[in-house]
Amino acid sequence: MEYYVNTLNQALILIMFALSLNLLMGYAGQLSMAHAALGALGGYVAVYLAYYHGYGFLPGILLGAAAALVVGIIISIPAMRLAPEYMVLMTIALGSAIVAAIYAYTPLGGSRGFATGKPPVPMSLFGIDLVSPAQRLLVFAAIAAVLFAVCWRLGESPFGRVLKGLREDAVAVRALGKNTIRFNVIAFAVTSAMAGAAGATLAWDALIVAPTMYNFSINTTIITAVVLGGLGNPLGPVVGAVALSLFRPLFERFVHLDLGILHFIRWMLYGVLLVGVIRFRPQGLVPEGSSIRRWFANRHPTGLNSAGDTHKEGDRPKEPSFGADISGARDAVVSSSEHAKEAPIPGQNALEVRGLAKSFGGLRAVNDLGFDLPAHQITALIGPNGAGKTTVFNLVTGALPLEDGSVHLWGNDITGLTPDRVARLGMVRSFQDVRLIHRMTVLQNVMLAIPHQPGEDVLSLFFRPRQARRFEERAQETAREYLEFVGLEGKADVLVGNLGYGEQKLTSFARILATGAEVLLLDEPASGIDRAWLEGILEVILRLPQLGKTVLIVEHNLEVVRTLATKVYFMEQGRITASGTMEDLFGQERLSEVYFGRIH
Amino acid sequence: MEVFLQTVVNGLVNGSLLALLTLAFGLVNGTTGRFHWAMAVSFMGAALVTALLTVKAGVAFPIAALAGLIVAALLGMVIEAFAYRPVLARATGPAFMSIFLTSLGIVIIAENATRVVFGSAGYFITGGFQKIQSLGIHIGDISFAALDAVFALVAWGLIAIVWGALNFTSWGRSIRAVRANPTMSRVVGIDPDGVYMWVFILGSLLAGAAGIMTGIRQSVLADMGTAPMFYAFVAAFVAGSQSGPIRFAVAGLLVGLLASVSTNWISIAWAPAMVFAVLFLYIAIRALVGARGGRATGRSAVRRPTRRVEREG
Repeated sequence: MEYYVNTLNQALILIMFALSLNLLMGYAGQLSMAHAALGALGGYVAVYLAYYHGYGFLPGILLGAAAALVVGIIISIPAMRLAPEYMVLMTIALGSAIVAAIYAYTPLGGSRGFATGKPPVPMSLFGIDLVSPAQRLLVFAAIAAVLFAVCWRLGESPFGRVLKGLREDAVAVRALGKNTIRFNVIAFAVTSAMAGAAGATLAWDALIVAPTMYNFSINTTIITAVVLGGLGNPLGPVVGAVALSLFRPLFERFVHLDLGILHFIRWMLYGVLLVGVIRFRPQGLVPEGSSIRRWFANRHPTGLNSAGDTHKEGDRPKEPSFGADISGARDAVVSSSEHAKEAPIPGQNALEVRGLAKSFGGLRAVNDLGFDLPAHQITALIGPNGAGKTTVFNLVTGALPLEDGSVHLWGNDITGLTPDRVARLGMVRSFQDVRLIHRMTVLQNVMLAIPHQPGEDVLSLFFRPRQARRFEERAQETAREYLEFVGLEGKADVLVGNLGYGEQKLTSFARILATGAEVLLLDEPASGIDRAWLEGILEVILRLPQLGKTVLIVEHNLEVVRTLATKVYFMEQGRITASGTMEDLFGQERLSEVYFGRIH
Repeated sequence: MEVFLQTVVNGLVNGSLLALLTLAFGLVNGTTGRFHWAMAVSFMGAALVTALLTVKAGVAFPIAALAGLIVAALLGMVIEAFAYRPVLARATGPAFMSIFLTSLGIVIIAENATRVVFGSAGYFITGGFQKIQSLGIHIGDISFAALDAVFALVAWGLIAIVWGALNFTSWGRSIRAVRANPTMSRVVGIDPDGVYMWVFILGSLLAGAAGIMTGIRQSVLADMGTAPMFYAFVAAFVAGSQSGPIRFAVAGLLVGLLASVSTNWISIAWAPAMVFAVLFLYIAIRALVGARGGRATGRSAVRRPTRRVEREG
C-alpha cells in the first residue's frame, strides 16, 4: 500500500514540474533544459535552510521558489533575444553550472548530498509531523492544486493569450502595444518559481537532497510528461505526468527482469514515447484548446462549440461581388454618408515627421525625409520598389532605431520610443504579410489587440477576478463589433490559419482597429488580394476617417491610391521628392518615368 | 610551463576531433536547419560497430572501421527520412521544438537500447595499434602518443577534403546553394530534400570518424557522444550557424583547446561550474549585445543569412 501511495506522491511532484514547464513550453513557446536544475536550486535552498537554520517545510518551499524565481528573471532577458536552439544551449549551460556548483561547494555534501537535519527532521506543517506517505499525499495534492490553479488562471486568460501570441510572432504582438518584455519576464519568473517549489517538495519528501535527484534524466522525464500530455493547455501536463508515473509501478511490480536492465528499458520506452507522440500525435493526449467544459459541450450539441469547425457556408451575408469596379466602392461610401475626406479639419496634423535618416551599412535607405499626416484623412506614400517606404514605417513606429530626425504624434515627441510605447500612444501599423497569430481564432486575434486589459495584469487576474472577467466580456463584444465593421462577423471562431488571404487582411484591419489607435499605418493593404476582396477592403479603409482615424497607406496599386488618398507623397531613393494629389503627381512626366520606367 | 604545454598538446588533439564533429554538426544544422542532436547516435554507433567487429568477430580494423562508417551514415539517413521529415510535415507547434525533442528522444532510445543489448560496460577497439599506441614522440619536455598525432592529421585531412568538396565540386555548390536559399535552389533545379540527405550522409560519416577515433583513445560507451556533441554545439554557436567549414573547424579546435587548458587555471572542483557559468554568461551577453530584434525577424539571432556564403567561393 505504502508503495502505491509513494508512487502517487512521486506523480504529484512530477505534475508540479510538468505544469511549470508547460507554462513556458506550451504557452510562451520557449524551451528550457534547466528545469530540473531550477528544482535543484529550490530543493537545496529548502534543505540548506532546514539543516543549518532549522527552517521548516513551508518557509523552505517558499524561499526555494523565490531563489529559482530570481534565476528565472535573469534568464528571461537574454532568452527573448536568442534563437530557440541557443536557448537550449543557454539553459543547458545554466543548469549544468548550477549542478556543478552544488557538487563543488562542500557544505552541500557533494555527490552524497545532505539531509534536513541530523538525524533527518521530518516534514511538518502547522506543528503536525507528516511521517507517513499518506499524510504527505494530502499536502502534495494541495500544492499541485495551487500550481494547477495558477497555470490555468495565467494560461487561459488574456495574459495567456498574449503569451500564445508571443509564441508565434513577438514582433506583431509588440506592434499592437503589448510590452513583450514584461510578459516574458513574468512567464519565466512564474515557471521558475514553480520549478523551485516542486524541487523543494521533492527534497522534503525524501528528507534529503542529492544532485542525482535533479539530473538530466529528470529533465527528460518532465519534458516527456509535458509532450505526452499535450502542450498549451492546463490539463495536458497533469494527464501526461500521471500516465508516465503509471509506468514505473507497472514495470517494477509486474515485469520480472533484472532491475538494472529494467531501468534501461523504462528509459527506452520514455524515448519511444517522446518520439512517437511528436511523430504521430503532436498535439499530445489533451490537445490545446480542449477543456472539460468544452468536452462536455461537444457531447451535447446545444452547448458551446469548439473553435475551428463551426463555420457554415453562407454565414457571411455580403460577399463582395466579383469583378466589381473598385472606384464604385468610393462612390458608395461617399454617397452613403458625408465623407470626412471632403471636410478635413484644417491645419491639424496627426503626425509630423522631420529630417528622418537611416543607413544600412553604406546604403542610405532614408535621407532627410519629412512628411505630415493631416488629421482624419487618408494619405499615401508611394514610390518605386526599394524607395524605402517600409523602412519609413519601421522608423516612425520605432521598430528600427533612427539615426536622425524627429517624429511628433499629435504634437508630442515620440522619437526613439519602442514600438509598443508608440502603439499605446495611438499609432499602430499593419504588416504587408499580415502577421496574424495563426493558431488563434479570428476573434482571439482581434481581442489580443484590445488595450488596457485587466486580464493581462497578473495582480488583477488573481485579486480582482470579477473586474477581469467583466472586461473580458466587454472586450469580446468590442472585438465582434470590429469584425462586423470589416464584414467578418461570421468567421469569428475560425482559426486564422484556415482563412483565405483576403479574409486575413480584413482580420488584420479589425485587429489594428481594436487597438483603439487613432493613427493607422497600413503597409500595402491591397497587395496579394484578388479583385473579389479588393472592393470590401477599400470600403473598409474609406470608412476609417469617419471613425476619427488618420491613415497612412503604402501601396503599389495606383488605382487603389487614387481611390483612397487625398494627399500623396512620392518617395524615391530615401527622400520625398513630390507631394500633392495623384493628378498633380502623375501630371509630372518625370515622376511617371521614375515610377513606371521610360516608355519608348 | 611543461605541464601547461603538455595540456596544450592534449588540447590540440581533443580540439582536432572536436573540430571534425563541429564541422559535421554545423554542416547539417546550417544547411538543413535540423537541430541534429542525435548525431551522437552516429558518433557512438560507428565506434560500437568497429569495437564489436574487431573484438568479437576478429575483423581487421580497416574493414571494421569501414563498416562502422557505413552504419553511421545509415543511422543519419534513417533519422532524417523516418523521423525529421515526417515530423516536420506534421508539426503543429514551432518546427525547432519538434525536431529537437525528436532528436532528444532518439538519443535516449539509442543509448538505453545499446545498454540493454550490449551491456553498460565499455568496449575497446582493438586491431593492432597497440604498438603505435605505446609509441611516444618526444619534443623537448613534451611527449605525446604517435597515434594522437595520426588522429589529428586524419581529422584535419578530412576537414580539408570537405572544404575542397564544398568549394570546388558541383555537388558542394548545390549544398551551398540550398544552404543560402532552399526555395531559389528548387527554382534552378536542385532538389533540397536530396541535398539534405547528402548532407546527413556526409555529416554522419564525419561524426562516425570522430567517434571511432574517440573510441580508440578512450573506450566505447553508450553515452560517449553526449559530451562531445554538447561541445560541438557550443563551438557551432561560437562560429555562427551558417559558417563555412574552416570556421566551424577552427571554432571546434579552440573550444576543445580551451576546455582542456582551463583546468590549469581553475581548481579541479570548481572547473566544471566555472566553465558552464562562463559559457552561460557568454551566450547571455552575446544575445543582449547582438542585433536588435534579431530573433524578431523570424530567422534566429544567429541564423541570419550572411555574406559568408560568397566569401567561401
